[in-house]
Amino acid sequence: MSLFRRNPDPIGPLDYARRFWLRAIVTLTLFFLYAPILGLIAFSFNDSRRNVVWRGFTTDYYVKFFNNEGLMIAFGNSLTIALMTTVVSTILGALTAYVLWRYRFPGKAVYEGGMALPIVIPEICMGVAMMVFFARIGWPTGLPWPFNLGSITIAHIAFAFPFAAIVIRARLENFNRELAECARDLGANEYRVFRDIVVPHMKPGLIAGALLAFTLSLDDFVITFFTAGPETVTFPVKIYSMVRFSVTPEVNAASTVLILLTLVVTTIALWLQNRNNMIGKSAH
Amino acid sequence: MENWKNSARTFWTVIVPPTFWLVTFFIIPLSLIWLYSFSSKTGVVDITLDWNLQQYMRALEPLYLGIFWKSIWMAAATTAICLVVSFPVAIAIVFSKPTMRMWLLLLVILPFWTNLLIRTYALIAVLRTNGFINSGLEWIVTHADWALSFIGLGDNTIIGPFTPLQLLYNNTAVIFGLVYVSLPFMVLPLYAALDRLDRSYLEASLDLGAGHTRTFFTIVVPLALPGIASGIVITFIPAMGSYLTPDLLGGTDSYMIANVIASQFKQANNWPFGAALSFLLMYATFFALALRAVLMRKEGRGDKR
Amino acid sequence: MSEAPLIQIKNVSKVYGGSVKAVDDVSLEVQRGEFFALLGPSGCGKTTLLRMLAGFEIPTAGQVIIDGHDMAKVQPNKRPVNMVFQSYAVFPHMSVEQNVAYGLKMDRRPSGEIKKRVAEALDLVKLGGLGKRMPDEMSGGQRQRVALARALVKRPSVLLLDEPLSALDAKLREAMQLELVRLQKTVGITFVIVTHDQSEALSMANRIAVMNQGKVQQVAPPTGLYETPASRFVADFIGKINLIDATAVSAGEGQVKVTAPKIGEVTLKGTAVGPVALAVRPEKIFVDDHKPTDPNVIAVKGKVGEVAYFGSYSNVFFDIGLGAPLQADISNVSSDVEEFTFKAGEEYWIYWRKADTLVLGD
Repeated sequence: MSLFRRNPDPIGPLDYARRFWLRAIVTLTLFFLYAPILGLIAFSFNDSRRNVVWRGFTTDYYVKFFNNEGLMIAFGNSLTIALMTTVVSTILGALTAYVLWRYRFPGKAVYEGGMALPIVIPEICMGVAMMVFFARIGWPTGLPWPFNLGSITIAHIAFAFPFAAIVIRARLENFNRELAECARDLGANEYRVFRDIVVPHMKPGLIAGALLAFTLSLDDFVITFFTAGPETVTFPVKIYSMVRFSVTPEVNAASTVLILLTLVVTTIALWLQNRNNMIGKSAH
Repeated sequence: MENWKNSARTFWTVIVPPTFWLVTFFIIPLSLIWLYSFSSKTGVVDITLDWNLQQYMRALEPLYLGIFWKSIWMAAATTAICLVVSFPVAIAIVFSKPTMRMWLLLLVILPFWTNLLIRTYALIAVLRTNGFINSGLEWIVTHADWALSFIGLGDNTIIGPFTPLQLLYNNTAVIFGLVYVSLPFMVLPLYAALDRLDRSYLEASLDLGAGHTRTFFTIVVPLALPGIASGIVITFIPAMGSYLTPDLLGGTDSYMIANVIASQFKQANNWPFGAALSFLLMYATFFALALRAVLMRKEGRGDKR
Repeated sequence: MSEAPLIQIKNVSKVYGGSVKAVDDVSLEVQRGEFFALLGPSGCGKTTLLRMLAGFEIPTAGQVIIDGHDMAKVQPNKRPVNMVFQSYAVFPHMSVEQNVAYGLKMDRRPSGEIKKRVAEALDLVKLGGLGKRMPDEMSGGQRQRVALARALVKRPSVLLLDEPLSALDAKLREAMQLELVRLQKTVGITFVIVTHDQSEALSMANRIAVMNQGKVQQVAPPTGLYETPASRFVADFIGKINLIDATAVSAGEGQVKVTAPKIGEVTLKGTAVGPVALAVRPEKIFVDDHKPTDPNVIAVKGKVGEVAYFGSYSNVFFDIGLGAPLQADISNVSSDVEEFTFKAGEEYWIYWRKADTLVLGD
């Protein structure tokens, strides 16, 4: 308890966050969530192939990772797919959000339900559906890069854009419609209102949506696993095939790189969003 | 909100692209396997749509019903563990100081952004025969034995020799893994529900003579019910349909429904049967969602007796 | 025991984060059967003090004694007090009856007794027959009655009320003020109410403690607070008042010699010396065309500035050549409009009795 004695205020009846046993549970939970990941990162620098005992610091496995052609190709594929998915999903997501936010139309509830389907149905169902679909329509295989990534990208967009739509719509919901009316009143036409008033307001939502689409695409394994032909391998699929065989420091290194990548992207997005909010606040 | 007819041209330009994508690359593929689920396999690659229910009948065989049942109870166990762990965590976050609360939330959300496969892999490293847990235990056992040797009880007379625990490739490992990846799904809705809860309800309950435990069960739980229902459903659904966790952490008897579906489409090459199983899984999902909607509507009306 | 005060607050302080003093060395006593009000501007510490009585805040220093027992280690659910919350906190998932019965259930009373007492409590707050209603089917005023019944049904030694009327509209608020006074007389329970509304405190309470910046400024009955405020802050906070900066020196025997611009030197009752304020309530000011001859008044010449008409009286501002104008509430005794209409720029003699003049230190 002495650890927590810094705070001189007596603990009130509702100061649950300062109760010892609650703190203990939170600490244990965070340990449970983070210890495996931190262990994985730490042991990507361990100078030993097999053991879990620390044998000294090395970056050998990162060198090996960057020299592993198969892994690097898979990494490049994943990034390419993620970038394409991000661009298309953000656009489609923004359009969906805009329609649902702005218009009343017959069958809207059904339409919204349909848009939520890719989010709620189990990944495996979507994975096999995409697999059957591309097999059935005779999607060409053996295309040159990057066209061989087409089917995966299409599948990724199909599940990522409804997520982006939700994020963007949430942002639109707190748009003050009087601002648009005011712009119309001052002489802007519909397009100018959209460009000058609505889009700037949507921007944090667009960034958040784009980021979500990017990480969803980069992280997806199940749907990719079923959609991918034998000759197109993404990073998670490659790691999966390596993991199936054994735990090796190269996989640790590769995983660490992917974790770092998502971490950087997330941080940038959070920072952008924060900055945007700040600008928004100071403008009011 | 305005009627779409007021600016029909803009409406159509905006609505067509996403609708096209959803229909072509989602609804049609799903419809395709829906049709497959009523088809018969007539050859190695030939499938005929003859609107029969034999695939669904086959899914009712004890073997597959057993797997369905197993998926449900593993998901239920996962959800229950998550609920028990998440409630105190959510309470602690809600009652923290604002800065602390932001950090705790970030720490809970952050694993979301880490690849599911990598998180599962990290667990393998923890649980495997020469993983962190077993190595830690071995260290403790050998050192305890060494310490006991000073009083003449060494050389494994009391404890040891160390035999590694089989922590991987069984149902426990799968549930452990599912809890590990699902925990944030439960914490966030609980947090949101508790955050909305007016603190004066808790104070009023204490003021009227209820202790903390009774306040929790008579006031907090009923008022946070929509959040609890949300948390249960959004933890349960992905857990029930999970593929990767049982695939990597489970043994041969830890197959969940998603693994069976995958094997029908890959190794067994029986697409119609896999399609039928997929749709059964989807129906179960929809059922869970509908249940949640009903629960939340009931809550909205208020508890009338 | 019965002679001892019901509530004793001894040198209580509450410090947040090591530096913010919400309550600063407060000592108070509340007698059995009193209707006691804690009055002050928002952030003065009155709610914190009330919550310390309920047990939701723990004092950083000092002692809270209720009914002869030190409350330091007593949890809120074990205290002989009950509270009516500002938001009422009527449990939305329970019917009115279940809400009122909740506290009795926690005390594990037999169900027959619970039923009887709940019915009595609902009758007391005039909600008899509405027991099956859900809170979301009731108006704000009704919800407040539920909160009152729920607290009173436990027969606490003290009923705490945290800004109970602030969420009601003006009409309902006035009715509820009378209602609360009636209730308190009926049940005979000690009430401690927190409010920022002075008229509420003046009309309901037997005694009022005025707080500012964590400290108690004055504890007095309503008339004492209004007619003989102890400090500039209290005088200014309760009602309208004219304050004129002045300096005072002691003249012995509870009198001071005060010097003020435009007024000159007067000897008044008082004890404050040094920089002081001469204070006089607007309704105690008279206006005349001629200089009054009575030696027991203070008179100054002033020019009419703004006039606000309030029906029964007019609030008139006079420029008397000082920084701030002097305001007077003049009764509109005549129905001849011409007779009492003040026109901007007109000059009058303004005067008030020396006995009505207060000399206030800071």
